[in-house]
Amino acid sequence: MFVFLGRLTGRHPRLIVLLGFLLVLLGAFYSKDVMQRLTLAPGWDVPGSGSAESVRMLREHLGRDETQVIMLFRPRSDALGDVDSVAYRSAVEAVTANISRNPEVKSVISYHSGGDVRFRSKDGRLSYAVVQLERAADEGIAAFERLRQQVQIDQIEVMLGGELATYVDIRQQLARDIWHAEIASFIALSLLLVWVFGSVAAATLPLVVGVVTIVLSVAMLKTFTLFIDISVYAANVVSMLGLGLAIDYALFIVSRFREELAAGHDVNKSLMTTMRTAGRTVVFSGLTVASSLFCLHLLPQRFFQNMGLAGSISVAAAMITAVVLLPALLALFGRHVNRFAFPGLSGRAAQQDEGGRWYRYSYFVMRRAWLVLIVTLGLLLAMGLPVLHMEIGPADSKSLPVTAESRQVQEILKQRFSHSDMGPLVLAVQTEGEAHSPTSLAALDAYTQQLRALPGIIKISGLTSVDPNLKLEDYQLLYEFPDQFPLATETLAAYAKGDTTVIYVEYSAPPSSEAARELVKQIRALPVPASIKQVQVGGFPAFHLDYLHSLRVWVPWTIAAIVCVIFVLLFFMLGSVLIPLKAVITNLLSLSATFGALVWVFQDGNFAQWLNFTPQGSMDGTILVLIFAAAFGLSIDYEVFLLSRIKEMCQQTGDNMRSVAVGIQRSGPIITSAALLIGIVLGAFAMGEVVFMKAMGLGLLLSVLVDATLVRMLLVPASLRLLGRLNWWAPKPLLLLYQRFNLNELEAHRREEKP
Amino acid sequence: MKLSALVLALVSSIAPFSATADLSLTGRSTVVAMGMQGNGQEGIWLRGQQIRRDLIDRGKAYSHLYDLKKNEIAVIDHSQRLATIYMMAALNEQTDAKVSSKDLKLDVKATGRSHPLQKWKCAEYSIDAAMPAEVGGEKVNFTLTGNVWLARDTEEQKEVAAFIAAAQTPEFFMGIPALAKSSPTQARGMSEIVRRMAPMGLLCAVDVKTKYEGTGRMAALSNKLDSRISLTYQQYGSAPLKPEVFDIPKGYRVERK
Repeated sequence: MFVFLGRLTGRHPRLIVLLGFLLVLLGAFYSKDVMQRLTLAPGWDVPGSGSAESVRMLREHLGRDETQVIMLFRPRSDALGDVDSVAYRSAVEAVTANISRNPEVKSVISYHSGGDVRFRSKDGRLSYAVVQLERAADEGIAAFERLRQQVQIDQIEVMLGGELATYVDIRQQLARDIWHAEIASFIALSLLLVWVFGSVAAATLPLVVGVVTIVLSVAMLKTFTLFIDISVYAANVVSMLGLGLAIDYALFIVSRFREELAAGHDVNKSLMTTMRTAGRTVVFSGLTVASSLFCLHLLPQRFFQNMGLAGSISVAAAMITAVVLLPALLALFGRHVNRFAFPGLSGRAAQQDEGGRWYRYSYFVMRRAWLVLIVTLGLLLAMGLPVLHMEIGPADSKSLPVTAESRQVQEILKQRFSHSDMGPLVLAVQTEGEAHSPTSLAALDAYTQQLRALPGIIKISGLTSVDPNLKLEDYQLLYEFPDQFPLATETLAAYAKGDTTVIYVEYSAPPSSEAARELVKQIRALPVPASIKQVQVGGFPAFHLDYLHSLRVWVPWTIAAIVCVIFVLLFFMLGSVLIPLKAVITNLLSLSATFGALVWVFQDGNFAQWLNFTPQGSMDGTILVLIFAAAFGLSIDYEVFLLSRIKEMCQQTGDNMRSVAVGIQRSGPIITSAALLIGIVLGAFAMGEVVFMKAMGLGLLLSVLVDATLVRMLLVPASLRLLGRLNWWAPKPLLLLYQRFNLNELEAHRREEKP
Repeated sequence: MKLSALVLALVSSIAPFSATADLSLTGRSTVVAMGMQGNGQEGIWLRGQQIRRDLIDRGKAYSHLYDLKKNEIAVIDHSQRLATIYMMAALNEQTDAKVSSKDLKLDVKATGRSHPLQKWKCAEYSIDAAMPAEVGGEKVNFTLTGNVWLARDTEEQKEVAAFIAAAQTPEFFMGIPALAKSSPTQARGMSEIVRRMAPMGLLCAVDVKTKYEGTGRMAALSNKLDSRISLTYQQYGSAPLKPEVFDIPKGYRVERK
């Protein structure tokens, strides 16, 4: 196939480039509305979990899908007085009047309208209101954006907070960060590529491949949006991973092509050899990374599945562009690929000879293999030590810079109010008959009494907990004749419909705390009275508890799947059992070192000031999963490039140490350059303001650095030296299997050359 | 039952009965029921035989337009851009089927106290109203007790005669239309209070409690539920109002009941 691709692109380069150009134009036109088609809601909920069921029951049975927004009123000057002054109240009422005709607002309860003193700050200078938007998810987010425009007035500063506001702020900050990162990384990449290749012409090619990859990925993403919901975060994955991998793949192919040209071969032969070797490796590597990312589909959350899909799409686009369009461009460029060379740089770029620095260095390491192995393993394990005290927690407004509005609201509520209503637990209750029937009310009352007895509960609102003066028999009578009592009909409508009712539970612990999650567990453990069919607990702590539980259950399977898939692919690439095993183990060690560093930085707060973030106290599980999948794929990617070269030499010479040294010599500079390039892309994301994007960028950057230094420069040569002949050993049945289906360059080449 | 209906009835009735002058009154109201409290701004505007009352209930804006010429009430939900029109005659029919106006006992006494509202001197009266009702198969008395503050002998009061006359016609109905069906006694009682108190003066403030009195369980429940309403106007004005103030805003859906 690769020979065929080489021939095809060599014979019809203009046609392929033209077709590629048209495809890119078409793709750009086709996908111009992709951002509108992506869902703003990330899809973090766990289908079938209690929290997701609570949302579903309320939506389907009660027609309720509301989202809460906190509206904090902060005077622009002292002249406005305290919250009880006429001027302050008028300003607040001017704001609430502004939104009183908004059909997307379900209700607004402020300190002034509801008289609840908890909505007033301890010093009496601030107050807040709770706004319920009619809808959640995408509609809720769009409604929130419109609300934000509507509440701005001159007299008073209105700040919006709460879970939805935090999510929107994070999303907007991310969009800005990613835009800056893309610009910065593209400029840096351009300069670095010139430095790596020593030639402007050669440096242009990876950038072209990068741009085409992004356009193709986005077009493919758009196609998938026709069939499934895809999160807006998928676009970020496409841009980050697509650009990074495209440049990496292009680098390997262009380097190999230039290497072949430098060896004196003509353009066609160089192209054929490049496709047969680097082209095949790129496809194999792409397959590895894509498979690794695709394993994210094992996790039940749509978010991870979207990320897996987006990752696989961008890898596929990068791979196809690198093995179809890029060879055509190389055929067109021919020897002009070295044009516009910088004299000082071009000489350095061409150094690939045996006996070079990398070669000598490899021998240095292999002669001290045990020492290097022990020291390196010790270092990796030491770096991974902080993982032992890793806490997994949710990303909340602390992820945002201190200047972000929703974060300020959360901080102000925490510091200046005795209680902040940042989102109650939402219990969706299904009863045997009508929720307001005497029997159901008796069951609800008994259940509510149990809830009240739990520690940390501040207030319960439901059908049987409206007025503290009323007892069960009063509620039974009240709801028998709701029309006859002031607000009884409205109360009934607010809490129940048919056989479903809702109970709101306000609690004292911070929503993202372990105590809040413990409360959810306690509520779920409560016995349910006979007339109640089911109780589903929702709200932020419940959602997070379910989320963590799902990670605990599914992440080990996902990791196992990634490891297995990669082990199998590596076996078919290398025909060895021990090398894939070693690769998997060293990668796991490398990742534990990366995670250890992340815990040390983001959870423990080291370098917080330098990196400009607030210590999180815990790690965001989402980011760890994404880092694992992407970093594992990338690490294996480099391992494949290195080992394929070593295997190639080993087959030619049969000398283990020499093969390792030559393999490292030939692939080392390229892999280091590739790591440096992708490191720049990822590092640019680490400069963002949102902590989890910073963590993701830094995590991937660290994993690339650890892989390029400790693993590939020390661990790989040392372990290959120690394994000796065992490197390429495999049990006989597996060996037969390998010989039948192997993906190795030389052996496949031999097969392809046979008539 | 909407407690704000009671406010509306009281406000609409005795506040601004000026037949020719335009009158605006703005203030604040508080409703307490079911252990909840709702405070908000209130506004009422009068022009000829048209009244408009605006209120914000739990953050949602509503208007009630009363047209005593057409004998129509339009209830406007601004967030839904929906106006529902009710005919006063039909509402009267609904309430008359259950209760008679004659059954209302109304006792209004001056306390001798007063408070000012701009140029008005608002005299305090105690109010004690009772009307027999049947709730949940139980005979009770619907009662409304508290204080009202009325301004008499004011320049603005001169024009109320025509409106008072309109209030005496059989078609007259003042209150929340939805209440006529669910709680006809309250609806009829409130409308009757309006009719009788209309000539007494312009409303400055009101602070009343409502409940059912009796010996049965409904009355006992009503005693446990603290249901109070109060309204205090803080400002009045007589600047001319535009006719469209009393129209259903353009683009709103209109439903007739």
